[in-house]
Amino acid sequence: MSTKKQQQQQQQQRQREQKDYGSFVAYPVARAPVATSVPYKRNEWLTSIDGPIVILLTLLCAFTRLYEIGKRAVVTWDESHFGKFGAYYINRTFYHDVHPPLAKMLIGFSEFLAGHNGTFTFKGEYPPYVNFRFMRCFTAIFGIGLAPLAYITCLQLNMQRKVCVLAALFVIFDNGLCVMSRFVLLDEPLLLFTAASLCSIAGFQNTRHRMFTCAWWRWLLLTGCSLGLVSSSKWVGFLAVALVGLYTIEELFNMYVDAMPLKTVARHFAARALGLIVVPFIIYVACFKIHFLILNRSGPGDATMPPTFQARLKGSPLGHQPFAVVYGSQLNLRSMCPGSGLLHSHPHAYPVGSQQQQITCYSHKDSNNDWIIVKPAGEEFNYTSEPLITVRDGDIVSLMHRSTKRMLHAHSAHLAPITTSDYEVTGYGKPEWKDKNNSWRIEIARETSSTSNGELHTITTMFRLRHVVTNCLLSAAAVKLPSWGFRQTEVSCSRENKLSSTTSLWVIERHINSRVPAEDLRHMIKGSFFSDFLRLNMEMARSNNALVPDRDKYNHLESSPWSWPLLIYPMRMLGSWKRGDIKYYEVGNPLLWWMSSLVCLLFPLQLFYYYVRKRRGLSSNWAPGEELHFWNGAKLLWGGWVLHYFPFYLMGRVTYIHHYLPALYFALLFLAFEIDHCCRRLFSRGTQDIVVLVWAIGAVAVFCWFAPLTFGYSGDIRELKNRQWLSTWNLYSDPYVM
Amino acid sequence: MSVDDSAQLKMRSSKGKPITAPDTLGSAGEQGHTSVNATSSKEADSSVSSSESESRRASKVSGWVKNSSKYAFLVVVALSFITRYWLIWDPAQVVFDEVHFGKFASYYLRREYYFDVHPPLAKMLIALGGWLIGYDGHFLFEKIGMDYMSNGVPYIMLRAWVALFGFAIPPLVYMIMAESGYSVAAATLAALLVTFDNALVTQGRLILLDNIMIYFMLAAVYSYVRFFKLRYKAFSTQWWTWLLSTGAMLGCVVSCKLVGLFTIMLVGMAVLYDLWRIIDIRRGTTMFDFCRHFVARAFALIVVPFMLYLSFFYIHFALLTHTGPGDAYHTSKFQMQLIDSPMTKSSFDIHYGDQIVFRHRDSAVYLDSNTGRYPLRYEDQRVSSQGQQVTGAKNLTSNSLWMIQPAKDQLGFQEFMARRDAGEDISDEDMDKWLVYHSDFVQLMHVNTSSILRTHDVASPLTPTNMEFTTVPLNGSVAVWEDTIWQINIDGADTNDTVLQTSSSFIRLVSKKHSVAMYTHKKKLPAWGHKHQEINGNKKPTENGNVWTIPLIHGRKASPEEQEEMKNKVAKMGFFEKYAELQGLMIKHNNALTSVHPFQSTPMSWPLLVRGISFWTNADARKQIYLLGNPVGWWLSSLSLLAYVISVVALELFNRRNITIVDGIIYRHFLRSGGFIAFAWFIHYFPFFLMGRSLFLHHYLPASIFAYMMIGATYQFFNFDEYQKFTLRHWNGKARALMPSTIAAALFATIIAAQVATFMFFAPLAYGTTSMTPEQIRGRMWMSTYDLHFQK
Repeated sequence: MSTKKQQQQQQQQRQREQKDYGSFVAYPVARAPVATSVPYKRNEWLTSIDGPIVILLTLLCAFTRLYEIGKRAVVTWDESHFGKFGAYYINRTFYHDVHPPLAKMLIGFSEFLAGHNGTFTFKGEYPPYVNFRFMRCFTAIFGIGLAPLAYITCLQLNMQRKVCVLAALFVIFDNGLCVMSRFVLLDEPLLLFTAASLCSIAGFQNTRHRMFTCAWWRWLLLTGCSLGLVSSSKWVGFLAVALVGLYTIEELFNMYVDAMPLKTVARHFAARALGLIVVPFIIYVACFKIHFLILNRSGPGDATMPPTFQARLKGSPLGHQPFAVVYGSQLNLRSMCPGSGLLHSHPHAYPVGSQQQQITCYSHKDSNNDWIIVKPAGEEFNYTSEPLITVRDGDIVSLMHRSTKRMLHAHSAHLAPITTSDYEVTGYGKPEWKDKNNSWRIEIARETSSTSNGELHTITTMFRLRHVVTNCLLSAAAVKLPSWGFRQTEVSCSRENKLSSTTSLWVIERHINSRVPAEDLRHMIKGSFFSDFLRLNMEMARSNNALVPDRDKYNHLESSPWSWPLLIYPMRMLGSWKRGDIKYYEVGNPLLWWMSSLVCLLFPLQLFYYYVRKRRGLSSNWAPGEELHFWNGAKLLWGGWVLHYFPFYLMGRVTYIHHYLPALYFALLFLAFEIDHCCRRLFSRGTQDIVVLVWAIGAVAVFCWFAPLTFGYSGDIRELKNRQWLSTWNLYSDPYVM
Repeated sequence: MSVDDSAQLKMRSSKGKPITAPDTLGSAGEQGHTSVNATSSKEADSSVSSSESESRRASKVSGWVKNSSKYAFLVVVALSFITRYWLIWDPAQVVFDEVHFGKFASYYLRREYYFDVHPPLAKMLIALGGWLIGYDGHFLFEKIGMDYMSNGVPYIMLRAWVALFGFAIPPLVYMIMAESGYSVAAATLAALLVTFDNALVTQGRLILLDNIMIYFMLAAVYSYVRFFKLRYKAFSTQWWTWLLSTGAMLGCVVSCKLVGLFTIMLVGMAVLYDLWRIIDIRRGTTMFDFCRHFVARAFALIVVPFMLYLSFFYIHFALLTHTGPGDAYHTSKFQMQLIDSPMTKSSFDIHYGDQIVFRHRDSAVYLDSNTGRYPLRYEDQRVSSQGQQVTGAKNLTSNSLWMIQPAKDQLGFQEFMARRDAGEDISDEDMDKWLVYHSDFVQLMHVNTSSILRTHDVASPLTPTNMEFTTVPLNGSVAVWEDTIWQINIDGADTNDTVLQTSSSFIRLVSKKHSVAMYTHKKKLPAWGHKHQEINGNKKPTENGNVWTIPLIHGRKASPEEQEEMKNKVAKMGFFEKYAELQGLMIKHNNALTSVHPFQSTPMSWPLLVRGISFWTNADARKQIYLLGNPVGWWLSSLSLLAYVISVVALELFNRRNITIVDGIIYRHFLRSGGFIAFAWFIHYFPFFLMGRSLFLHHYLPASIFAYMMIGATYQFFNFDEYQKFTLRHWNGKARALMPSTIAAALFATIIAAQVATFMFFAPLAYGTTSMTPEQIRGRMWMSTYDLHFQK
């Protein structure tokens, strides 16, 4: 009787577990399940034993990351970039870079704490006044955090404790992660925040049955914060956002399908929108706000931003200029189309069309950007003695290139070299030639200052230049010319009267005229944080896309994504490789890289195998809940690996092996996850312990074997020739050298 | 929860008779209207038992409604014939890609080797037509607009032959729709829309590949539908017939164009879906059964198509036995297999001291030098070395003779040359000492000016990134000496004992000091360079444009015995070796078709029919052929695809919450049959987004047929509440209605009327037989992007 009752209870329990299966399970099990594997148990959140384990793991990780951290007192690897960027925050000068500011601000903060005064340019040896050991330790802390996070993540994914420790050991004893955590780089914050995102989404998943409780909210908001931090460190962080986004979509869809009341589904949706969209966005924006607040001085990055922004920077020449433009003024004209630049000419001719002098847009400041605005030839005017005449809306003017004395010219006889629907614009003719094709009409489109009196003003007036003869508009649409045009932007005369587009809008960035007194323009310029924010992000995207591979340079560093999981092309982290140089080599722990890649690449086959078995009614030996546990863990870890790896195939920009590190973190955890999964299904507890121990010893042994390359090796590299495991490695001979 | 096994669900009609649910591709147990004899015994019993009452009921139905499917089919056939064959002899000129495909057919008839990126079947079929009517292939279709009549080409018969395939397309559409369980109205609608599509008509009546390819594609789909309907009679003769037919048609479609791979993917996905259905334990299949199913499909759908594909190549090689314009694409070994190849006629070993000629493989110019010098300043103000010009000349003159000299052992060479010049008889052994081998370092002396070829770090006249080629007098300084050493790299040679030969060796000439390869391209030098091609040093020695051949040695000619000997020396090349080489080249050149064509377009613009292709114009008569789909049909079909996706997503979301809006069977038919059509459209369209080559509107035509079918599917879904009443099969003589409502009938009539009217309106552009005034032409520019000729 009692056994019958027990059976009934078991049955109910089983049904409940099966209902929880989510999308992986589509079929009822045909036969009564006979659990053969170790029962699945949900881990509790940090019991008393976990505290000491976490501390021990952290200490172990700290040792591998900090041991001899100051061995090489020279700027190493990308410290030259990121140390320099950090120093800009101390100098408070505006700079431009492809990465979002958070991680660089952290580096700047570490430099501030280290007592750096901003004068060091991060080239060569560190001077005594820069405490580089402290800076490296500061960023290494982020790398150290990876180990406890790996442990906690695995706990949240309900893996057995010994395997959780194993996962943390994998992270600690991977040479690739370790060597990249020992320098002042962006990778450490990126990795830590990625790991934090994974950890918190795993915790969120683990509390899904306690919805809207305190713990649930805590994990949700932690996920949001981590996502905000990771995407503010590098744009690769958006891949973590994608992982969490896809996970959330699946979860919400399952809720919808499970006939949950729509009101509850809506509540879930709203909570996630708040936690996973609003919170990260606020953090992302806040990082940029702080970035702008700190960098309030004119610096090397000015030219990438519009003049309204530049003029507001302290020390920028744009802040004090003559306001109203008069005939005879010297001007720099900037196209309002992002990515175009300043109107430019140089003594080179078009190789096609009229073969007259080239007119381009150039993004850097240069004396060839100077134009003088004059009356059209034929109208006598003495620019030095006659009273000043302001340039007004509707005026017909000519523009003279200051250094070559050519006039801005357009004609219908030839078409622009690339945009063949437009007329060609050239530098042609002398100022005294009465050429009607040199005449342009000013059409003011928008005036942002309060004095809109039809006059042309510096910075605040957006205007068009309409060619009088052909009625076309001077435009620059960020189209690049080929090498004969030095890859500058094409300038053409657009026949389409598209007044909505920014390609034909121009603004005066610099205005020089000794006869007009300079004014403080800053109070006339309205700038908004959000437009600056958007513009800076657009410019970042543009410079990121411009990082295309240059085959003549650096090709011993670049590697394509296909080679990463197999560790085919490790990377030397410094150019000089002689005896006596302290050499660092970005090579991963081959055991861990190869095994984790194997597991990740075989996972689809494994999944297929399980599906077919299920379809054949052979899946009855799964323990209750084990299937759900497997699917829940695998989709986060394997999905994370896929999302952090495959997008690199689509990127046109240069790729390096350390771009694989976030994906590697997922792969290492997935390796541990599969060890856990297979152990549970195949082995008894005693055998499991042995398996875990063998893995741990193997990982540590291989790490130690490669440790000289990770901790810095100053001897002759040929002594380490046993470390060359693949013929493609350039450990002691560089196959790229011709 | 899966619903795969729906086909076994039986539904009871109001009369209590069991009827089968239509599912994925059609109905399960019932037979298509074309085959009557295979009715299952069970159904035969029931039809016998109730035959009396049914015949009585059937008599009430008027005859033409009963036979409506036959009449509809005949109407489609008749209209398809008329639209395709209407004035097929007009224009009597070469139109668009007839340039290529007519030419290729001629080569088959001449049996001369040509090279093309497409597999051979469709072109061989065109040639077959030509052969049957006795055309000898004398005309080479060189330019669009060339006259057929004055050249004596039997083009009408050729076109009529190819149009047979185009003519079969609308009936096939009807048959696929009918077999997939659609009503007469829906099937007729789809087939008539396809009949009156201008682009398909234009393509369907010219000597082009696309309609042959589409014909096989639809035949494969039709066969698969028939096959799938027999899934409860697995391994029966009929089942095998249609399975093998699917495989054969897939083999044919992929042998017409590699785009046929998309059709294979379509069928492949359907097969995977089917196998997943079969493997289900609840279906009671054993693993052995499953393996039988799997092996049968793998054999019929992978092995058979591939064998067919290979056999068409076998025929291709068997037909093209003579040397022809395609030789130059291939390796010398391949070329030597062809009868009369210049490779076998004059392939000599080259010795130091020979006066040889270099010819560029791609542009066929000769390395030339003359006494002229580079001007001091070029137009872009760059400065030259003012050295002696080295150019690429179209014509072979004595200026193209270069003497090849060794870089080492100069003294021995001088002695050897002295003996040779003196006319001494040198033993073969001594001669062999002076053979030129792969990777030898050599110097090249220009015979007429006695100066030595050199490259140096000066920018080339037209290409500033490449190095200038010039010559220096014999007794130059030591610094210059280094610039004059060249390495001979024979393509495909891996050991140093490969001897340099005339004709058969493809070489790259790489500067020892600068690692640049001798290169030329189509750009012409200005008048100072006699409009010859520019020669310069390319910094990427491995590029394809750097390959040169040595066509002859000055004063050396093969005697007939030598020729015979050479012929016998040729290494034989097996079929698979030949095939592998050709296949590799086809893929390589297909990907390299990136040159910009004025009428190319982006895949994004196709479903909206943003722009057509100008096929042919006649300025005097103001006639033109402009490939353009029927705007009404294309826009409607794109709309119906959108409607399909939206409906399925919405209904699926409701279904998931257990809210039923559409009856189960109708929804399932819509989901599966519609899904098959939608996927077919998708797989024939989206891969183009990933292609780097230049694309054209006619690449969308296969997908457009499925888009038209989707109009039929959505038309049925939105208008017909009870499918069973209208399905297009023999239905035990029961009253079959044609239209469920007047609205549906009106919609049918409206769509057809609009399609036909638009077709007629644009017909002058499709047929090119009527001249039009500028106003008429401008009236047909429904989009400003239709760049028609003679607008003014």
